[in-house]
Amino acid sequence: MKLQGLRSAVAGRMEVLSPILLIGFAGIGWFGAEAKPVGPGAAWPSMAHPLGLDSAGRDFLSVVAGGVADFVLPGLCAVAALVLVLAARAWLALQRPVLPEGNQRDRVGGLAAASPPRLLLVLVGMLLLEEPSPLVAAGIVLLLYLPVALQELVSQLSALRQQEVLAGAMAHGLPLRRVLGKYLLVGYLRELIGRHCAALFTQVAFTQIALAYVFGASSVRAGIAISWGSEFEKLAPFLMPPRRFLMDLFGASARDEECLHLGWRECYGCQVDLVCDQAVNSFHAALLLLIIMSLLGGLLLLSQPRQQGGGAT
Amino acid sequence: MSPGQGRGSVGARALRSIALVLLVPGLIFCCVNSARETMCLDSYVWDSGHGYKSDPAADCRDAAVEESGVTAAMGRLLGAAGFYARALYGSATFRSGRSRQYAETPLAKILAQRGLRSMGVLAVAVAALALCYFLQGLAGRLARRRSDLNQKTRSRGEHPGSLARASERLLARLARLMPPGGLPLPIAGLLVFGVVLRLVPEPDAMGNNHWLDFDRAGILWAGLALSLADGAASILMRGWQHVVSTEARRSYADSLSMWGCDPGPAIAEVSRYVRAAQLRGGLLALIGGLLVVEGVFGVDGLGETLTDLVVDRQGLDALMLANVLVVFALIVLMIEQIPFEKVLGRR
Repeated sequence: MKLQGLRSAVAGRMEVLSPILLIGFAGIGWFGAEAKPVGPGAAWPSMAHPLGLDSAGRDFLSVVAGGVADFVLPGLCAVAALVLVLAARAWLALQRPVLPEGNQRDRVGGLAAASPPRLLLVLVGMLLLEEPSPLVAAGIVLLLYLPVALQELVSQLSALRQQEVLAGAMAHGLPLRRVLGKYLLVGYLRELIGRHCAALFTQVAFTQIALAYVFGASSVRAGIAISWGSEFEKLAPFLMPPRRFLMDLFGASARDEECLHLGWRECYGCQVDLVCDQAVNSFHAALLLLIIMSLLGGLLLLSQPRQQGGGAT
Repeated sequence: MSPGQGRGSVGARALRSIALVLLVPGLIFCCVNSARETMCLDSYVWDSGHGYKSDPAADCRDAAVEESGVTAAMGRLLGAAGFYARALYGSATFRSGRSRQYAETPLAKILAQRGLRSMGVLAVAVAALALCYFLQGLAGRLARRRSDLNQKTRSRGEHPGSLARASERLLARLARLMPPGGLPLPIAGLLVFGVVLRLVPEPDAMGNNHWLDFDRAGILWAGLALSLADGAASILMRGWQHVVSTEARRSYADSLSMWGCDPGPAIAEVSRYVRAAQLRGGLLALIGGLLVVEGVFGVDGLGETLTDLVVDRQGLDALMLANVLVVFALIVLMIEQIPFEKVLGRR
């Protein structure tokens, strides 16, 4: 029965696989082998190295898994802080279970505050430190995100108070801790908290990736040189096919110079008996982009409200 | 009269503006100087003719190992406040000075050049968004026209041709098409970057660059990436469409339509405050994104200058930092002060 319930929850929502994959990568990163050079250079995937070796001779799976550690810890810290703040706000609402009159006023400037220049403010925060810290960046993202989550929580709590759900539960003599835990956090507010946790985690992860991309991992986190942003920065130029391939494709090359007839290695300018570094790098660039987009994009989808079937475009 | 536009609120807004331009960057600057020991304000000397200039005799290594503690931090805070006030005074009296990094060129000239590049990126992004918005509106209008024509054909008892039906469906779909919401900046930037690397034309046989050299292409493509990223396009287009369609369903719009009047101007007038707030939010989001795309595309603009200052662990260029912070505050102030409400009220 439980399995059926799980299956119905997963049905049609491939994005629920993203956190599972992320946990898998984090597990490999923490318990698996360290990303050290084990070969002379790039190599295609094999049984020993399922994603191949990068141009530095490191196992690419270990590199990807190691990069997860760059944002998982700050992301989880931010999520834990968010849950605590939301729980504290719900506890405050329980102190006054009946809605007071005349407190529904729109705040001026709320729309402009909904999209603050996140990275600019993160950078200003980073300026204050001798060594930039991912935890500080996560803290700033949390501070910027909190008003959004709190606003929705307050509106949901006010709906519950209007329906006299909270007053009813209190009137039945249920202990405050039980109302807060069982009825609010794990009950009425579970979906809201889950959504906001997924959204905040994704924001923190994207911020870390952006910072690592622009500054390089060593600037973001001293001593540890693996992060998705910095790895992608190295691989980005290989994302597009080589110019010769594109020229052949659009018929811009002379007929006797077309590399497509001579095999794909010619397009990359590689020799037949050697591993083609450029092609392996292209493969890794596409793979890393796919992993970033599918895992974090899946988390973003998880943070969307569930019951809006045809409404969303 | 808009909410909060009395005499008192005008005064409060002016005060807030002054605080934004002078106090907030100053506070950040003072905090940075008290927290980071590598600022080395002693490496600058005041020249009454040019403003601050770097002092080649100063030794920043001694300053970096100064005593720590609350008293020392407070001393650094006060020192930074004095430096900031003087730098601001210098900039206001056309004596912006010369930073440590670029001792040959006046700082105002460097910041103006970089600011223009950043404005170029922003302008491309805004133009791309505007183009997207107007194309969507055009597609909507054409879809309605096509739908009316097909309806007339049906009312005559005939079936519209397959081409007419297909174009109606296509136009309706184009009118609903939205830019991706919140496509993360690094991904948007990298996707465009990958294309740029391959598509920027190579120099000709004589070694002359094409008119679209990497520098100019960087500004163009960074703007396009910026328009896609961080949800700015999404905020503006979805938000505006939602506001306008909500207003169009209200009774006054219906009444105007029934009397044969175009409800558009009235809707534009009523919804201008909300749309202006959305526009300001979108522009602020674009400024945050500017930092990353300038880093990705290597556009030598204000965003890259700030990121360079953050990364620079050897010695923060204090004069550059103070002025860049003021310029960013001025840009935010400009976004606050532009009367978008008036412009948007004209439809």
